[in-house]
Amino acid sequence: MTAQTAASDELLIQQFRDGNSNAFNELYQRHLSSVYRRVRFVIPEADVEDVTQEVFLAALKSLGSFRGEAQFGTWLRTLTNHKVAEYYRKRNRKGEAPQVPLFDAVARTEGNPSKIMEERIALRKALSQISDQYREVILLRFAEGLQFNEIAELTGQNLEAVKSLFRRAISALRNHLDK
Amino acid sequence: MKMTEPKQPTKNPDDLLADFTDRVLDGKTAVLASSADDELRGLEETIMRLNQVLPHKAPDEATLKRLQADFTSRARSAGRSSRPVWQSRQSRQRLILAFTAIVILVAIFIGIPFLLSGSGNIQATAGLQPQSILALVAIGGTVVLLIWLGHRK
Repeated sequence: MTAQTAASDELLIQQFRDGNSNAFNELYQRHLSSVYRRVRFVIPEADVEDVTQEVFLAALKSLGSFRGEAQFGTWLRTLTNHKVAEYYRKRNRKGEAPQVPLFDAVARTEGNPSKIMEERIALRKALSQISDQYREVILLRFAEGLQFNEIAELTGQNLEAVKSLFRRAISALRNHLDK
Repeated sequence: MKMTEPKQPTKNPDDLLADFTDRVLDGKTAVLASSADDELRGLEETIMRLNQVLPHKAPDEATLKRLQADFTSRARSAGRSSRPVWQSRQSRQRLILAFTAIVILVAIFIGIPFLLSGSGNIQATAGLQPQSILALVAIGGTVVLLIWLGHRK
């Protein structure tokens, strides 16, 4: 996300606060794809759209309390992470088995669907077990498709530090997969 | 900046894994890099698994449009699209502020004649009387107070 986009986001937020509800639609369109991809990476396909919409409804509701201390995109990522955590908390409370609907697995045509389903569950479980910092760098690179230099810019770290963090994150993920 | 194949091979495992990830995500490779380092090969395997198993492609146009329409309807039914909660709270605060200002001003204007008439009979001929000054100070103070309240978040 560039500084220019951040400035435009701020402008849209101000317009929304001034009563222009179309400004939020613009924010929605601008950030929908990245929120959707982030959610889809960690949540079963059947619930992706619901959770994505919940993120934006929560954003709409609490945009008044957004102080602009971080970029809007960063704030939205935090909100998305909270909604994902809430989703899994609710599932655990209901005692639902960590199932992935069959069509979710079949969507990927290669290989054995049930094997892919198992793999998907295992990877998501491992992702949920690594530290927030590790999970975040994996999500930024894989789910949101940011390049390493973009991640460095976003997080205020240098490129080497981001690559090192990424390698350690993958290593931690692998350790959890092996358990 | 797109990560491309380095001209000279790098020794740093961080760079090697990052380059491998870039190639995998760009669809330029579907096989493990021929690394002699077992640990690095293991990490590359994990990268391949992440790429193959978890969905990470951008949604298509039709999905985006459907989501947009659905969101508009959800926001409307939640009664938030036209007037968010924080906005109505702000409107209420403004109303209370305006009402307070009116009450104070009315009280001051009603009070001025009483203050002036009660001031006695023989007063100085030039300048403002003390009561008038008091009233002006009260008005000024009220205005300053209201401005301050209005700017408070």
